[in-house]
Amino acid sequence: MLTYNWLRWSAALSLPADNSNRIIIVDETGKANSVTVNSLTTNKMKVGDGTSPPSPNDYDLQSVWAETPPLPFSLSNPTPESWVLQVTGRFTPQTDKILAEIGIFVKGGFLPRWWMIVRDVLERPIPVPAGGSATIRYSLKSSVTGE
Amino acid sequence: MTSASERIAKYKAKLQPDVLYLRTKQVHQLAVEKYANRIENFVRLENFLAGLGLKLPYEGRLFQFARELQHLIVTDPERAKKLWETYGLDPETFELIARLMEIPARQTIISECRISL
Repeated sequence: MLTYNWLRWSAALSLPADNSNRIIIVDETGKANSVTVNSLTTNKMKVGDGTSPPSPNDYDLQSVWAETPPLPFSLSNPTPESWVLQVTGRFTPQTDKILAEIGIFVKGGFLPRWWMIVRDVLERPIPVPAGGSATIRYSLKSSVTGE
Repeated sequence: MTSASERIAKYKAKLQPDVLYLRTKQVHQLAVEKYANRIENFVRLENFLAGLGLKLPYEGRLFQFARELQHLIVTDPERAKKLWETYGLDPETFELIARLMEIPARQTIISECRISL
């Protein structure tokens, strides 16, 4: 069992009380943007070998070596307070690669663009040999506790 | 009602051996951190708050400021917006603060990542 860092969100993420399933993302200029998340929302996953510590102010991976095609989100229990988002990426590099960072992106906003909502940096990078594969599965679960 | 830490502990107990890591984040806290990083002119905020008869509660307490502003937004939204613009603060930031208040204060997101080679 490897040990990994606790990592940070790159964006504010919430489903507000009006049940519109929006996530609120702050862009590079500090402005709030709203992205609707449902089964039609496309997402993609990127992987890279960058090792710089993640920060809430990251907007892309440090050094990308592959990304998935856009895929719809798997969203279950889409209530304002309790929901699960799932995304899976499978990568098969043609040359030896180092898996050191992972990013999840969603597309949306008033002027649609890709927003990075998660950037994780592994404490111990994982070698992925040429012809091998790495499958990465994310599950993001929201819950709200009582007062 | 169980606490966030109890829920996390319960969740951890169910994890499979190939789970590489787990993380949680109090969402509104991050939203406030993110917003705080973007404020460049605190004097404007101070003046704005003085116009409302409030003090700047910035040091790690921006959320409290947002709560106070939210109260004014609810009780007298036109005055809140007019004062905000009077002090040269942009409408998008005003909107952000209003939206921050929509985020449940006790919302926690648990991220689970599994990597298989």
